[in-house]
Amino acid sequence: MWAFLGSDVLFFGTLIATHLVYRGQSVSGPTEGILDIPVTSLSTFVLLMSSLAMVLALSGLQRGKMGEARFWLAATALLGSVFVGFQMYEFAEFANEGLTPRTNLFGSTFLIMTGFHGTHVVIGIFWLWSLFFSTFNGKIHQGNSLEVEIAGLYWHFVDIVWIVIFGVVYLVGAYGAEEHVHEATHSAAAIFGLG
Amino acid sequence: MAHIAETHANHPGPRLYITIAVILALLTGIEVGAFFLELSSWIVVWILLLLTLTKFMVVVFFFMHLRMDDNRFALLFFAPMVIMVALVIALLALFQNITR
Repeated sequence: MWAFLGSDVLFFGTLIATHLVYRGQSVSGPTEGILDIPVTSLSTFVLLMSSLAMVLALSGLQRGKMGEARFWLAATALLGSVFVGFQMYEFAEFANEGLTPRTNLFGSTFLIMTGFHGTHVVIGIFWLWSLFFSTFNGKIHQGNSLEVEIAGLYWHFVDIVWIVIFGVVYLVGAYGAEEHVHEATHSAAAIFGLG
Repeated sequence: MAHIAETHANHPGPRLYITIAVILALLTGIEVGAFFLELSSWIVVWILLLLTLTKFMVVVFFFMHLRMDDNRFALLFFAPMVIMVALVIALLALFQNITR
């Protein structure tokens, strides 16, 4: 699993690098200013809490508390689904405002990067539900908690990828855009003698 | 198997996990707060990058248990990370986009 995660680091690293390199190069359509920071902060919080639920599921299983393990596995999957819901809402809002992967460089790089992350989350949700149901037929028990620990590694990796995307792409990216807007506003005000 | 059993025995308990989650939530709150601060842009950008790195490390070392895992796993994970960070910095420097 660690080898796979290492390869996935390169995969997401490439997507993030591509997005950063093309930042500010779009010539038309909406860009960073379209990002809704309060809503994304909430979805980030939800994903962070899903990571907590995941470690609590593993901890419960390792202590032989199957009910606890089942509860937290289901909670992790549900919180992951809420995160995906937020992402679908965000994509729908972007489409309403005219941002699609074909609109500009920002749309292409941003939506492909976050879309691949969302796909990872969806795969993780299916994996978590399969583990949840396997606790009922005896395939997952205290003796083979490593199965849940490996799924947990994948889930936490999805979380840390989002930590980077939220920090570097959303906050730093949107902050740069805000600065750009402020600078443009001040320049325009100075030109018209309003500054 | 002995190694696995030993590793599991060293895993933190629910209380530490909850404390870590609270810290992560607080760090996210500080990140969002810093975003709305009217400070010099480079200060805010560095605060945001530092907070992102801190959250990243906390999840990797505590939730992913890399702190008490075999060092070879850390190498498998951090070697590509170093390559990627170097690549991102090189690309941004080449395209002179690093300060925007």
